[in-house]
This record gives sequence, C-alpha cells and structure tokens, in this order.
Amino acid sequence: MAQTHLAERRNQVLTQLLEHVERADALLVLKAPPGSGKTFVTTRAVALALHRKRRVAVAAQTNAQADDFCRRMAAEFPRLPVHRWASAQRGALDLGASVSWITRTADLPPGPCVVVATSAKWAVADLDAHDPFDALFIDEAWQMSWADFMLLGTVAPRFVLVGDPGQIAPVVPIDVSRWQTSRRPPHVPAPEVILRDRTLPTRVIELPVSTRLPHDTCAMVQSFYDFTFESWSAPGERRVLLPPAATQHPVDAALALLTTGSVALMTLPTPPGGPPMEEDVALARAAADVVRRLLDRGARVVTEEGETALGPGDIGVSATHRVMNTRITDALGPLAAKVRVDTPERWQGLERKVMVAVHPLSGVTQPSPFDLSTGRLCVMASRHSVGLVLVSRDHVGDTLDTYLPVAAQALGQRDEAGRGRAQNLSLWQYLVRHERVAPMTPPSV
Amino acid sequence: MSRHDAFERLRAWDEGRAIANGHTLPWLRADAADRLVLAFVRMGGESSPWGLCVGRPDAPPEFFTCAEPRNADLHAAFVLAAAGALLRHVEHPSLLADDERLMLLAMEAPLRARVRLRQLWVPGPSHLDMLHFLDFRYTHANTGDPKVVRRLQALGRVCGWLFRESTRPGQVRVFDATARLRRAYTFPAEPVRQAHLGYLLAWLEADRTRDERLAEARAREDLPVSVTMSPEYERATLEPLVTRYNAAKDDPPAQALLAREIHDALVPELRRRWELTVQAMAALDADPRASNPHLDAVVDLGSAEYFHEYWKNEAKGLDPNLSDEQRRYLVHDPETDYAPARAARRYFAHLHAAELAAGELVHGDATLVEQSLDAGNALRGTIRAVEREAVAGKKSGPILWTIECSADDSLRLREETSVCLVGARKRIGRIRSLATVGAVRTVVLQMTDGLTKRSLPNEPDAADASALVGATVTFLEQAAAGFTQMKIFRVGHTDGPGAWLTHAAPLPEPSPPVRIQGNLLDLVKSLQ
Repeated sequence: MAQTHLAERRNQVLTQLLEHVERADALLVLKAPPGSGKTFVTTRAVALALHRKRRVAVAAQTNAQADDFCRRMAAEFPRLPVHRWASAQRGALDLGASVSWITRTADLPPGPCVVVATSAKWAVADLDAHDPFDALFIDEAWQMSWADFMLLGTVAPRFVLVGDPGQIAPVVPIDVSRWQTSRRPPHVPAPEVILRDRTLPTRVIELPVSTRLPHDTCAMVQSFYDFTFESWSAPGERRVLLPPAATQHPVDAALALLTTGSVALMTLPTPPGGPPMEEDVALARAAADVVRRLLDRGARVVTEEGETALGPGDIGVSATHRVMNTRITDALGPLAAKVRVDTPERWQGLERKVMVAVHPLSGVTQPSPFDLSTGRLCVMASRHSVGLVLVSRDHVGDTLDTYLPVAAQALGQRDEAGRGRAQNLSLWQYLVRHERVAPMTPPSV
Repeated sequence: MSRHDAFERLRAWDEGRAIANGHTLPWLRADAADRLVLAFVRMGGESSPWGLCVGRPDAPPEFFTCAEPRNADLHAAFVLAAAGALLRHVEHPSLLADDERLMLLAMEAPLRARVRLRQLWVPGPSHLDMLHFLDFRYTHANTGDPKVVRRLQALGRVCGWLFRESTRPGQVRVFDATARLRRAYTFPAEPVRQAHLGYLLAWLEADRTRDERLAEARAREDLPVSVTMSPEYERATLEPLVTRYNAAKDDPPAQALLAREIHDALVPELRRRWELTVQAMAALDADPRASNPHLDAVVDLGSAEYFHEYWKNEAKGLDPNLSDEQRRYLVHDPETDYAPARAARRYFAHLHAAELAAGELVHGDATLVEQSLDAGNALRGTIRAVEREAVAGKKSGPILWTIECSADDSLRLREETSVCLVGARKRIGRIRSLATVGAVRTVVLQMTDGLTKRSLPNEPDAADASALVGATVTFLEQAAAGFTQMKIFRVGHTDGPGAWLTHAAPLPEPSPPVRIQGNLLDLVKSLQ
C-alpha cells in the first residue's frame, strides 16, 4: 500500500506556499526532491495568485520547461488564461485551449495575468512600458546562476524560487576563482546565494514526499540532500517482473537484481590499459543491450496502480557525454525512435518507469572537481519510478577510494570536490553493501 | 585528454620533436617596443618577490632586488624602483600631460590604438601569481610619504589589473610563455613536465635527434624557472649573505656591500628566467604560421577592456577633487568583486570573452575545425537535398537542407542547436532533426540566416539553390556571444522592482497583514 499518510504532510507544505502567496510576502524558496510535485504545487500557487487579481510572471529555464508548465496549467486550470511568451523564431505550439502564444513585448497583457517565458526571455525584456508584475515564480531555480537571476530584478518585487537542490548546477565554462569569495558569487545557483544570506527575509519550505522514486531509491539518493524526504511507495511495492528466459544473456544478472529492488549496478571489466576515455563503445552497447533485453524478455512493472507491460516508451537512457548518447542511439537502432536517450541536463524534470544510466565517472580515472560534482549522478539516479540500471566500468569504486581531494577552494569556502567525492563514494558503497552489483561479461558484438 | 591530443602527443614522440598545434597562432606578433618581459624570484618560504627583472626583449633588462624582502620598507623601496617600467608599459595616465590625458579620457580610440598590441610576457604561472601578490600588498598601502604611497598603490593596481586580465578567456595582453608554447605546439612529454619552460624549449631545438632533445630537456629541467629558486643555491649562497646583512644592521656601509652581493647573486637567477622567456617569444615569432585571421574582434575586446577596466579608472583617480569614497569605487579589490553587480558584470564579461574567442578563432584555423569535428561540436557531410518546406497559407516556407554524415563521427550537437557554415559563417541553420540508420546519420537543417546571394556575396549560390546538392559542407555550433554581451550591460540596472533582492536596494514596504480566511486548498481546488 502506498504511504497515503504522507499526503497530509504534503498538503501542509502546499498550504504554507498558498499562505505565502495570499499574504504577498517577498521571498520564498521551495526545496523539492525529485518527483515531489514541484509543478503540482507551483501551478496551484500561480492559480491562487491570479485568482487574487495579481500579475504573475513565471520563468522557466528552457523552452521545453516553459511549454510543459503551460500544458499543466491548461490541463489543471482550464478556466484560467495563460500567456506563453516566446521568441518569434519559434513556431507557435498548441499548449491547450487556455494558453495564448505571444511573441512581442507589446502583446503582454495589462492587468491580472499569468505570463510564462524562459529566464533568458525575461532577462532581456524591456518592461518599462508595462505594468509591473506582482510576483515572479522561478521554476528549476537551482539551474539558474545568481548572475542570471540578477537580471530578473526588473520583473517583479516578489519572488518564489522552486527547485531541486540535488540537481545540476548551472554550467560554468570559465575560471571563476576570482568570485569564489564574493558576497554573492555570480556563478553559484541563485537559491544557494539567497539561502546563505541570513539578512534576507527568506522563507524556506521543503516538500517531504517523492511520488516518483521507489522506496529504496529514496534511501540511496538521500545523501545528496540536506533535508529528508520519503517515498510515496511502500518498501518493495514497485518492482520489475521478468518471465524466465530461454537463453542466457550477459545482462541478465543485472536485470535479475531489478526484481528484488529498484537499483542495479552493472559493471564491465576495466581493460588493463585503463578504460576508454569519453567514448566507450562497449559500454554504450551494454546500455543498449539492457534496454533490448528488457523488452525481449517481456518485462512487466508493478506499481501502486497495478501491473503493466513495459514498453519502449517507458524506458529512458542517459549518459553525461553527448557523444556517448549518440553511440547509444546508434546501438539501439530502430528502438532509438521510441526510447529517449539524452544527457542528464535534458532529463531534468522528466521520468520513465525504467532508466538505464551510464555512470558519470565511468572512464574517468583522475576525476576533476567538475567530474565529482554530484548533480549529474543525482539526476541520473532519480528519473525512474520503478527501476534503474547503472552501467559502468568497474574501476569507479577504486578510483574514488584512492582519490585524494586537494581542497583547492578558497579559504572559508566549502570543499565541493571533497564533498562530491564522499557522496559519489557513498552511493557506490551503498550499492556494494546492499549487493546491488552484477558484473557483466563483455557483450557479444 | 582528448583523442586528438593523445594522437598528437604520440606523433610528436614519433617525430622526436614538438609539432605544431593548429594552422595559425591565436595571437598577434608585436614589435619589441610593445613588449615587456618580466620575471621574478622570491625567498623560499616567503610570498613576496625578492627580485625582478624587466625589460624590452631587444635590450638588456633591468634588475631590481631587495637585500631583505621580509623588511617592509626595503621591499617597498625595491618595487617602487621597478614600478616605472610597468607603468610606462600600460601608459599610466600620470605619465601623460594633463591635456593629453583629458583628451584620451574623452576620446578613447587613439589610446586604444596605441596600446592595441602591448604585451607583457612572463615565464610561467607562478610569475603571474607574483603580480597578484603585489596587488594584495600595495593596492591598499596606506602608510608613509603620501607621494610614495600613491605610487605604490598605482603599482598594486596595475599588477592587479594585469593579473585579472591574464585570467580573462582569450586575452592577448598577458602572456604566460609556458602556456603559450603549449598552446602552439604538442610536446612529447607528460603534462607535469610541460610546466617547465626550459624543458619545452629544448624540444623546439632544430637539427637534433629525439634522444638529444630529450637529454637537453632533462638537463634544463634541473634549473628552476618558477619564482622559487633552488633550495641548495639559496642555502649555500644567499642565506649566509642575508644572515650577515641582518647582523650588520648597525654598519650601513657593510650592509650596502652585502646588499650588492645579494643583488649579484640574484641576478643570474633572474636573468635565466628572463632570457628563457625571450627565447620562447623568439621561437614563437620564428614560427612560420601566420596569426589567426579572425583575431581582430578578440584584440579589440582586449583594448576595450584595457580602457574601461584599467586606464579610465586610473585617469579619473588622478582628479584631486575626488572624495575618498569616489576614489575607492575606482579601485578593484585584489581578492574579489564584493559588489554583486560588479561581480556579475565581470562574470558575464569573461563569459562573453570566452564565447567570442572560441566563436571567432575557429573560423580562421582548419585545425580547430577538425578538433571541433573530432570533439563532436561540428558536423561534416554531403548535401543530399535542398528544398522549401510547404507551409499552408504561405507563399514560401523555410529552406531545409538534408545532409548525410557518417554515423561513426562523434556528435554532440542536437536538435534546436544553431550551426554556421565553415567558410561562410553568416549562413546559419538550426538542426531540425537527427536520425541514424546503419552507417548513415541524416541531419535536417532549417536554414535561418545568410539565405540570399546578396547577404553572402562570396558564396556562389543562394541557400535554396539546387546546385548545392552534392556539396560537402561543415557546420560548427554557432556561438551566442551577443546575448551574453547584452547581459553585461543589463545587469547594472538597479531600478527594477526586485532590486531590493538582486541589487541590495532598500527592502520594499512589507505587504499589509492579511488574515488567511477559509481553506486555501479548497479554494484552489474550486479553481480547477
């Protein structure tokens, strides 16, 4: 039975958010673990604000996220008009009957309204000629740097930042050591900067339940978060069912683990000369083999809603390097049209029943601080609602074990690399300790 | 290390020499008059420089040393003596007549043109760190003769700007000779050995075998080139002199003699570092490769940075009527940008510089294009179809190019990515779809810019010409430098309604108290 008693706790948090909107307070940060219903609560808060005759701006980090938000609003609040403000270069999309598509600043509506656009669009918009907005809701706020957030100061006087603190921080392609000790470091995720500043009137609330993640996955990814949350599902409630196989396949041992828990780590031996670098063709083929074998064996999944067959559209694949994703797509052949293969950055906000993920440290023998940042691993380990197969070369445990963090951060700053190493190691050891590791013999090619 | 780098290093080993990296060099060569070479040494265990050597590469350098660098007054006197060379190199406004200074302040172009190619060369990264140290030590100097203090502060600020500039992506003003050699050549050695300038130069020696170059490189490696000297040399030669110097504090003539001896002992160390840098510069000047033809925008950005981030503030700071508060605003803190708006502005400026350098230079060097292909940041293939998409209600729809590539090629580009054509960079398309069947990857591009012959006079065909079918084309990811540049200016807007949070403006008036009535969950449900 699902842990329905948790619904009450989630409603309490939603009520806190609605009260914040009702009171028109200045600043709120909502921390949300994966699959905890960020959009669910945000759409409700936006709907309440519009009901109270406010002008509401919503900033998403990508066009896809902005489109999804509009679709959710249209589906759940079909009587409330929403404006999707997009670039003229994008063709208009049908996001629902209540969503109108606008491309010109001059078309921004007067009076109470909801306008959804990307942060980039808001950042360069000239809003001087328009009524100011009353509140700005920022979706996936942990993906936004403080510098980019500063550009949104022209939009509204009140802010609600919603996001998953375990997710991928903004990409920083330059040396930022100059600003490490800045009072508000421009490269750091905006909510982190806000939470560090105790002088701000910030209210922080945390969603307590992940409806997406299976029970044992919640325990596994908990180390990536500074607050606790629980799974909606009861222990063992969700699982993969596999009919007996007529023949043996190198990935079967890993798949068997999914019938007793939600996570399996399938390892390939590391060649004596070291693992291939960025592009590991054997690993890509192994990941594709897992997908194909699940479908060939007629896997089924059990969730709170009952038992269903697992189809290609229920499976996703993720690797950190785009070249690896291209290789996996190639290895999937015609299946690639139905199985989404993408980087963790693009998987944020999405989910599948079963995910296959290439461990971000596979092939990395001398991890850099960037390699050790846990955002990608956290995203990859939290997109599934039933099962996850991590695929990796088997050196990762040893690599993490022998890596010595150098603590090169500025004085007084957090040792992100050391922390990342500890969290990576903790997850690997969790899998070893719980006997979730299945070595694979090299796939037949 | 990428596959390309690994392959090139093996090739360099096979050929027994350093091999050229790229078809061009990503900086402009400058006359000796525009170049200054600077090298430091410091006392073991200490942060501050003990001596420095500075000069144009075509003339004997000047040596400045300090008998006892732990003595703050002596140290200040020594760097003060050396300050002139650096301040002249950056055309410090205090060295100009008032009329000229005011004219340049009002009209920046002549000054920017004059210093466009000024270059400061140092042997390696530890010497850049010395600039940062001098920034920390002297930018906020505040005791002593006001004239001396002002000069020391000016020295601190110029060192600080040069250090910050050295960290700006793509900059062509501050040259770490070791890094520039590594950028220009692939050396047959592991990365840790490539940190030694002498070691690298040995691999560039002409008419030698691999073994001879390797032996020479190892021999040169024995002599330090960083700011730290050999501990044996310091212990055996310098330490006794310094001990005697300190012991002779009541005997000024004896101290003067010992100071001279310390100076003479430091000079060979400084000279070696300085000469290695000049050799590196000469090796790069002698390289037959031309400079990248697309450097203009990068160099112009550098001269704009010089004017707005350094010279303008220095010139304004000479106004005797400025208050202390106004003067403080003109000075950048050595540690960081504390003001959030300034930090964000500089962050965007560095992002913009990185995007500009990457986006410009790749069009001027075929090797960079190949590296982009190798890394999957570009695609190359044959045009199989050029067509106009039919759009209901419109006379002509968008132009689509169908390009077939090898599925074996790496590819990081994906749908929605904007790409530009190598050789005709204003012809831009957006990836509509990617599909792989067997060994063929099919890419459909929607062409968005550079569609007509008029927009691209050097191209024989408009983007919808069927004559393009069969042509081999290479597309690169299109840099979005202009967007970041816009952010640099916009982040300074402090008057938005949310500025209380984003720009530390005063807090807004709190909302009037609201009594929560009824069940908000039910209210929201009723809206559904």
